[in-house]
Amino acid sequence: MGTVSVSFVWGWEWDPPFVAALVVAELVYVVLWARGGIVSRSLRLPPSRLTAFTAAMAIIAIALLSPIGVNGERLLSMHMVEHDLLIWVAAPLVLVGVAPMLDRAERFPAVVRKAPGYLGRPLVAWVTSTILLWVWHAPLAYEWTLADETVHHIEHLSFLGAYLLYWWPLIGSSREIDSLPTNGARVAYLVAGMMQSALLGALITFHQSVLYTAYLHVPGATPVSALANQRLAGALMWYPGAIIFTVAAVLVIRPPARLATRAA
Amino acid sequence: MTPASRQAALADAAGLTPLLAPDRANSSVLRVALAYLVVGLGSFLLMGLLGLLMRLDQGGILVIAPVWFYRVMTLHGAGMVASILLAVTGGLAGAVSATTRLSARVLWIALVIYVIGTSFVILATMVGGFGGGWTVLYPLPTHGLVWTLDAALAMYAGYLFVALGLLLYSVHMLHALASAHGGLVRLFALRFLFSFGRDTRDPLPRPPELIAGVISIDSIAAATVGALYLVPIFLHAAGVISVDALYAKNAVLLFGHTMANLSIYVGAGLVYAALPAFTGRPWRTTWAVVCAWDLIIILMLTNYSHHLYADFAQPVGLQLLAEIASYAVALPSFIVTIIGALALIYRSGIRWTAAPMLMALGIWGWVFGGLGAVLDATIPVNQVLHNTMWVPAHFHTYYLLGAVAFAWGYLFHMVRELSNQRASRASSIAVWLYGIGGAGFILMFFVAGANSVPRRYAVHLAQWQTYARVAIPFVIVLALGLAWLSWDLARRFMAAWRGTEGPALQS
Repeated sequence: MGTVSVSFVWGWEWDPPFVAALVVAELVYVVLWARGGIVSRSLRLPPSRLTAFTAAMAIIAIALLSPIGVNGERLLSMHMVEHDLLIWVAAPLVLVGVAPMLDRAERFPAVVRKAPGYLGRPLVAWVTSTILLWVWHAPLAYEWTLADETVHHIEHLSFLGAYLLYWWPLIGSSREIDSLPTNGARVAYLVAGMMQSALLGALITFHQSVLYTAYLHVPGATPVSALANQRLAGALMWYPGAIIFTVAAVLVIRPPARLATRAA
Repeated sequence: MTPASRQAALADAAGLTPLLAPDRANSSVLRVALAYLVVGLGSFLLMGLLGLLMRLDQGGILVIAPVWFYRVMTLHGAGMVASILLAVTGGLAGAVSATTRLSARVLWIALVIYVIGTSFVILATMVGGFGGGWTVLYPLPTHGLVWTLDAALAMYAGYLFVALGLLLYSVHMLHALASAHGGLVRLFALRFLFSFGRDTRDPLPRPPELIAGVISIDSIAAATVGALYLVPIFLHAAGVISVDALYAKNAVLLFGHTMANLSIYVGAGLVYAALPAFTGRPWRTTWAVVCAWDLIIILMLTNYSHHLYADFAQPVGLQLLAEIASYAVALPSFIVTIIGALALIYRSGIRWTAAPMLMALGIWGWVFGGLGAVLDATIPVNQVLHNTMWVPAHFHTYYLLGAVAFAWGYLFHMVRELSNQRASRASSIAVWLYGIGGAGFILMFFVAGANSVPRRYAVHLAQWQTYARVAIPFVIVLALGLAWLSWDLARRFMAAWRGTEGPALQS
């Protein structure tokens, strides 16, 4: 079996525009979070929201700039970890931080306040996230992201966007639209989200040939090592997803009395 | 007074417990119970289609490749055990919820974990090609020639999630019951038991509560063994250790056989819950009931070993224990249940609608399936019959005509009570179709087993195919019955769902 050389913990990528974007996003959030408290006590958000948003920015940085992201071009398994972090960790954490802010910010334009409510309708959100996840993992599209850095960025942005939509009905806290008002609906939505990503993960795990041929051309790679790494990559989409959805169930399924209060 | 509240008042006067608590505190739990029953029975129907496919193949009518046959067989087995257990555990949660404070939130979370587990099993078999049988008996799964180790690990991971879902349900159920009764001694009526019924200072649990407590302890033990069993299996897969095959077989059968066995006992708990509502007579917690069900706590965990009679390395003591436990676990509980049920029905003026008919069918299936099991658990008989169609015959009897009939019957009962709409008259005919179709289908397994037709064979010799061919028309009759029952439930289901809020809120 061949050996692909990889970057280790010190092999971070320095991408000034991207780092600047993350820093600006964090600063804007900190200002809005702090102003909320100054303007009115009712608009104050707890520090846990700030922590969640900051953690999300850190996770995005780790996913894309750390050796996880750097090695993703050489190892499919690392690329999959990158995707896992974006869609299952960063996206829900961003929403935990931002959603109550959108909910309370009366001064935001109506289109900004209402957009998540419409786009984040369960069916729209599930279909969008499913289509994007599957299309980007189709061999043709995936090879394109490896060949063109811009397309790669678009892929990551679309994953983040799609999964912000997916998590919105569960985490978004709009007072106007509660699209999953019962625990039964929440369970069905979670299971639907889990099933489609698990199916994709299983198809990659059990595929008997190398799906993304670009990984065959990485120095040191052989068909056997590329296939073994592909199996690992599929499992990395499948198994952690199951754990994430279990944790999500614990967090978003609520006592019926709290759901009733929220709906009212 | 609305019809539903009139029913509640009548039930109260007769010493019966209504499905919906007077303060509607269990509304949300009844919804989860309905969800468990519908998901479980829906999955049962899908798994039944896979069963039909296998019988068509064995009859030489629709031949499928052996590789696919074993995938289908594995999914059919695992899926049936999981779906039926889900349905009956949901029903039992609904049955005890009027008097025991259960958390709907915990039950929903357990459902999600359980479904995640089943998704692993579906993907491991249908995509990964795992065909090592639902029993995943070591070392076959890790040495598959037509599936990879990844597929075996995915199968095990699925079982791990299923075990964790069941564990969460059972721990919660046991905790809630023990809290409601002031401890396990009172829940299992131990003072009443050991004083031979003389010490009646503690209030006795209702039979469904006692049964829920018993099966919770067994579930916790089985699920814990199942989860712990996987540690050495995963370490073996990683090349760290080697696993003793006899230990592995004992552990996996203690888990799997108990899971399969639980369904029928949980299902019997539904009979204790529903039959009083049909007959207007409460089912008393007698000394015999307490003794029979308390015994099951231990006996259900010891009878699994009758599947290892053919393993010469198994200690003789365990083989004998298995034979004794197999008799002891079956006979007291079903004798007590049957006599109790007949006493309740006798001259009660019961109206034989679909729900009580299904319950009666379930008792019939339990008796015949249990007798088949007891015969197979007898060592000299087992030597001849165990690898024949006799074994599928007995478990199909107590599943299809036993536990599944209990689950359908209880769902009919819940929908009737909550929607306040009666089942159609045609449903009674559908139950007959279910019973006749199911009995004919199963009889051919028994006949094939008695004629030494081997089980788990994808390709059947020409002289064996007759049994499967005769069974198929019965399967069609069974399918027609189930299709009608499903339709009759579906048309009233939303009314029942809304009915969990109670009559006042409905209006």
